[in-house]
Amino acid sequence: MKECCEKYLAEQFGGDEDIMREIYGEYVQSVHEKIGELKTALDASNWQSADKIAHTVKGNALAAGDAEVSNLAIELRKASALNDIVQCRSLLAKIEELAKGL
Amino acid sequence: MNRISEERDRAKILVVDDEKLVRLVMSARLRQAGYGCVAVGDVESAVAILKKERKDFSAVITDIVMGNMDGFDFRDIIRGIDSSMPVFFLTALDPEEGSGFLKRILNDPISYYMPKSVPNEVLIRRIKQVVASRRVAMFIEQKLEDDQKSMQLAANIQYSMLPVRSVMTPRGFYTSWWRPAETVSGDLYEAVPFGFGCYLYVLGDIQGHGTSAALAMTAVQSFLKTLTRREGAPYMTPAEIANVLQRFFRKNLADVSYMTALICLHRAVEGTTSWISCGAPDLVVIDGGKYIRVNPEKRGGMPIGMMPDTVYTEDDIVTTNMTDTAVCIAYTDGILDLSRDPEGMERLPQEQSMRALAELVDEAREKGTLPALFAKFMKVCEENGYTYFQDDVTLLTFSKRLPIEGVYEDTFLLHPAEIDSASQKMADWCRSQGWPQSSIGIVQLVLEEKTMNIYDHGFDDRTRLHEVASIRLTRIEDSACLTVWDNGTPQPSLMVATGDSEVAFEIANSKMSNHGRGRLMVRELCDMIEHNQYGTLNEAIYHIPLKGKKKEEANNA
Repeated sequence: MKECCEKYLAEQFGGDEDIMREIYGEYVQSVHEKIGELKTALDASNWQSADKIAHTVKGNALAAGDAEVSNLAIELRKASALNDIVQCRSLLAKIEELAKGL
Repeated sequence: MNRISEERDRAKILVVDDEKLVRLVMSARLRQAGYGCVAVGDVESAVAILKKERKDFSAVITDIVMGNMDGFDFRDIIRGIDSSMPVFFLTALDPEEGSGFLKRILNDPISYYMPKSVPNEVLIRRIKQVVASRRVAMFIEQKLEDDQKSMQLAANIQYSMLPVRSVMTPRGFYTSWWRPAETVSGDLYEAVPFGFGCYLYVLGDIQGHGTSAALAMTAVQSFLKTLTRREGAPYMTPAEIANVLQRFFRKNLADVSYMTALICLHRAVEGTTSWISCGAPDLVVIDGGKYIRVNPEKRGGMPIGMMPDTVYTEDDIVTTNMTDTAVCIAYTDGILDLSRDPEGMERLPQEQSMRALAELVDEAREKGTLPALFAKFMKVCEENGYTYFQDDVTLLTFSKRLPIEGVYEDTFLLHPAEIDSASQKMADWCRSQGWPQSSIGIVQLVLEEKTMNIYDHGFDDRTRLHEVASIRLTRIEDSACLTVWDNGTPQPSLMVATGDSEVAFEIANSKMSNHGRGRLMVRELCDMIEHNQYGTLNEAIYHIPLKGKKKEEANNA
């Protein structure tokens, strides 16, 4: 479990490992799913969809205590608002990299 | 388990978010804190749950950005189901993004903003506060609901204590209209036969409103029933009755209120009315479309129970000679408080109301529509914008009964035996007018069908078993014109029995007609049926061909 997530979830749930594992597992699964959806949205230049997915990634990362992914998702939303495909792809690559380590 | 934990166990939160992770996190947080939690992924499921069991939930936690509907639209739906349900908006949106969502959340006084990154302790503390407020709101709501049920029960009891709406005797008739300003009323009236050819009418208005006035009304109404039915009562004069009521009031209700009252003894055979006003509006006599002042000497006494030593004497009584066509109207002053605005600033002027009433009386006398007099009067008031009742209103009219040539009138209780008897009496009258026997049977069938339907299905509660129907029958060329007035449900009565769908109604109609009864059969027998609604009074007019014309036409076809 990623260190920051473990710390955050332990604080939130009083160290209840069953709950922590379940939530973390769900978070990891959701990040991978959303990365795929983001790729599709960016390939289609569907900025509205990209913004919405990035918003969900941000929310899920906050819920799991993953500040790094959450901050990248915020940046991705900003780039998406400017229709900046290069920046979007770059941020997505960073999220993907982080997701590998989850 | 301590008390707080028990309370938390009972508090249940509905979580709505299309992200499974958020639902999982929120459920875990709430359950860990001792709350019950139901988490759903879409608004439709949440709405279905709230519609079914809204009282089981203490708050809703929802996202703003969701797949099929945003959180604000969802909140509008929640408000339609439960106006006091607290709604938490748990969102990853940043207030500094400038989308204005924070303002939209705070537009509603029981909506709260909660960022998705909110620390657990803050979330639980906030929920605890809101759940406590919700408990208080629910307690008040439940109390109001219970109070409303009690008031409705009290209203039904009051209504059942009143005499029947309208009565016709061979010599006289009366008809009445009683309406509380709110649910229960401080107004009362009694109408009882009082010796040969006489009727006693008492109209009272307990001062004040609400529960205490209503309780006093029921006490006085019960006392009046006992008083007027005891042996020797018909020998009492209106002043003596007022004195007995004064003693009753001082003994039982002196600290509660007092009552203005009009006590009238109508001797239809002699053509006089002796009456006493105890602080109430004078009796009004209308004759030939004119409003006649009948108390120039301003006789009368103080309201009943107001002063401890009031004694009413025979000098307080007014005796009014009445022509055969004169109609008396007694009313409580609530009618003068009928207004065009909710604050009661623009009230119905007395002259205008009396003029309108005089015109309607004249017309009703002529056409035999007196049972619908007050309902029609109220409709005129409504058409002129006087729709706000500031006070309870009771109206009572009585007079000598004059048979109108070619018109049959009757009022009878809505019970099978009474209906049967009324039908026979009507048939006797038709025979006396030389109507063909086969046609008389048809008119009887229509009358019995209509009134039995009202008896079977026309009332929501059986406390109204003293309801009456009034009828008027006349002949217009080859048709009989039968008018029935009743206070039952305004819609076709079978709808009540079979649910409110049009299809169910028609199916029931069809089934009933196979058994020789039902509205389809009535439709078949009539050329035309008119339905009118005057407040709570229903008017149905049946035009029935008198020579089996319709049947012959059908046979020819």
